[in-house]
Amino acid sequence: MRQRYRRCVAAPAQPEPRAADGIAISVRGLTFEYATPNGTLTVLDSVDCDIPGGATVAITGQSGSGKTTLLSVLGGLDRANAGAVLVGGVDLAQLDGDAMAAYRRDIVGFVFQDFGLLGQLTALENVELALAFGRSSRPERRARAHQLLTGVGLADRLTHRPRALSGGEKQRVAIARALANDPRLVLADEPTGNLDPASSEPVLDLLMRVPATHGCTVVVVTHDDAVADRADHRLHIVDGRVRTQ
Amino acid sequence: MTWRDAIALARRSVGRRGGRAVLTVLAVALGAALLSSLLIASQAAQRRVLDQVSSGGPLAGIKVDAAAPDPNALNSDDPHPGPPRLIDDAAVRRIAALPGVDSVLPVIATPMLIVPPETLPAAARAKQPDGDPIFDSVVGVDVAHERDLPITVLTGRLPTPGSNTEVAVTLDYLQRLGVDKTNASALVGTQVTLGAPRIFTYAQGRRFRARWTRMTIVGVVSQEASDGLIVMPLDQARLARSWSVAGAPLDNLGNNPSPYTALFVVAHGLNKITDVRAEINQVGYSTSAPETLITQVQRYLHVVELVLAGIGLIGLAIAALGISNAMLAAIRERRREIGVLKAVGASDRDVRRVFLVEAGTLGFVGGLIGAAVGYGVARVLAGVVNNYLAGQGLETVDLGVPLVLLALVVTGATVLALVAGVLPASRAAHMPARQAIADE
Repeated sequence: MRQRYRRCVAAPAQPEPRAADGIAISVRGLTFEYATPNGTLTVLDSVDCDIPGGATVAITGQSGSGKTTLLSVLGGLDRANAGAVLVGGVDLAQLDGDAMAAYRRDIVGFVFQDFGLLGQLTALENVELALAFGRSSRPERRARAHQLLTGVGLADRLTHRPRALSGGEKQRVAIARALANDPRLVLADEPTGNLDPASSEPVLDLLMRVPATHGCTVVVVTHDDAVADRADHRLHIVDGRVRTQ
Repeated sequence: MTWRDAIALARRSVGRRGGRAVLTVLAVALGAALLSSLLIASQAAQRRVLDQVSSGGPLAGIKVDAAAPDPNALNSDDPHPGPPRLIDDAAVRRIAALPGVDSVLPVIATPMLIVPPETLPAAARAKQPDGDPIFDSVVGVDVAHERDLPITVLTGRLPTPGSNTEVAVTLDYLQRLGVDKTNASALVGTQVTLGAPRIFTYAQGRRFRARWTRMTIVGVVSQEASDGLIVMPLDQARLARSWSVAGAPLDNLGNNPSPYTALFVVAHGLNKITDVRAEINQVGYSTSAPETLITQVQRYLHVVELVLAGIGLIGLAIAALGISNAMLAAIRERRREIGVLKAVGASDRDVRRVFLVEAGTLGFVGGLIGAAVGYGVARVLAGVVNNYLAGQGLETVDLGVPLVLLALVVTGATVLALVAGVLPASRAAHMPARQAIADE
């Protein structure tokens, strides 16, 4: 299964626009439930949706509506209780632990609200970390990380640790890391949630350009209508059910 | 993720939580230091005790007397010799050819007139000799094979092989002069005059004469090769003996007609002693060896060593529990980091590897520091003990550099740390990715 997800795409020296080859996602009857002391809590209830390859899709909804859970299931961080999630035609439910790790490594790039950078590593090393689980050599990793950070405008911040970076810079490092393995699907959970408006804009610009520059499908979970308005499609979740807008 | 990457990440993670890492490493170092110092001291003490039991000679040493064996006490450590029997070169060759025999060294004890110097150095702190000769034995041995003889040099050295002017004196010599063994070194460099006695028979009767030689004392020894006040090269003793036995019999002076008064045989290991003794008995000579004593002492020392090692291991195990506790705490704090690792593609195996390497690193560094500190502590203890031993005129303890033991301690600390890290690492590896990511 891991082999099916492996791609060999040579990274360009500078991010260049290229034909969109983001991966298409099809969700059918997705149900996600938690067992709680008070009984079963249904977070996603028979969700059906389709995300076209190479598009930017915003998932909106109120807190607790299930949008982050949907993102986690799409990214292979969690498994649904029922239904099918087909990413590029492959049902994630069929992947075992190692194959799911390979899926997260080779197909998906994550951007978190709180950046998810390791404080003990520099910006360069944080990006390299995403490549450490693949098969590239150390010099290749370093060159790739260097290239990506230059691409997000952080060439002068390579050796800075996260605590020495601003919020916007941290999120750009996170985006560079998400793109490290040349993913086909970038999942961003409230990417501007911890940023001030001035920092949000360049981060959002960067993220929305990703389908064009890297040929990915981008799915963004957001509360912010301004963010959602910039996406090609919007999935609105209410009480665990999707309403397409 | 390669091991190299895991080590690099573990190093950074350990470095980020410096205080906790230092405390954990110190706990391991303490356990490792306790274990290594106890084992080093135990091994040194074991060597010293066995050295004492075997009188400084090899543990597998057997003394062969110029006497027939006592059939009633063949297996005793110290049997009573039977009737006298000559030991000649043919007997030496025959015994040397026996299976299980490593070496055979002849011993010649011969009676001698011993005249100490008229004045002893003040440092000897003894009453001055009255000038009368002492009539006792000297012991001739092959001094080139010191390691194969039951001889311990307390101060100075043994005579140079082939020397005609050098001798060593025994503790009995010191006792005769009233010199305390703590002042033994004062006698090194002094002179002693030796007279090989001989009875001349004339028409008018027997006359006693001696062939006199002046010797320099080059060392003081403790020895069990044979009774005597002086130790000298074998050829010197042989010459003196030849001179003495060429005259009338010296029976009343303790002369022994055997060319060699004893042999010191070294068997090929402690377990061969019984067989070799039986074979020598078959050849027709009485033997003695502290094999039973040595075996018993070894057994007790082994028990002591096990107890000390157990105490050290308990210390190390407590430190390993500390590692486990620190790692579990670290994993609780680093759930988010584990989630990020999984999000960027780390498999359970990768996460387990990172945390195991962290535990191993703590154990290895702690073990390294502990082994070094333990060796240092053992050296300090040895210094204190050696000062006391030297003050008592006894041979000091040599710790050496027990590299194998120290390497074992470092390895043991690392392995224990890895074992202690298995549970935390497994917990981290099996943490659901989303649960870890969602943790704030």
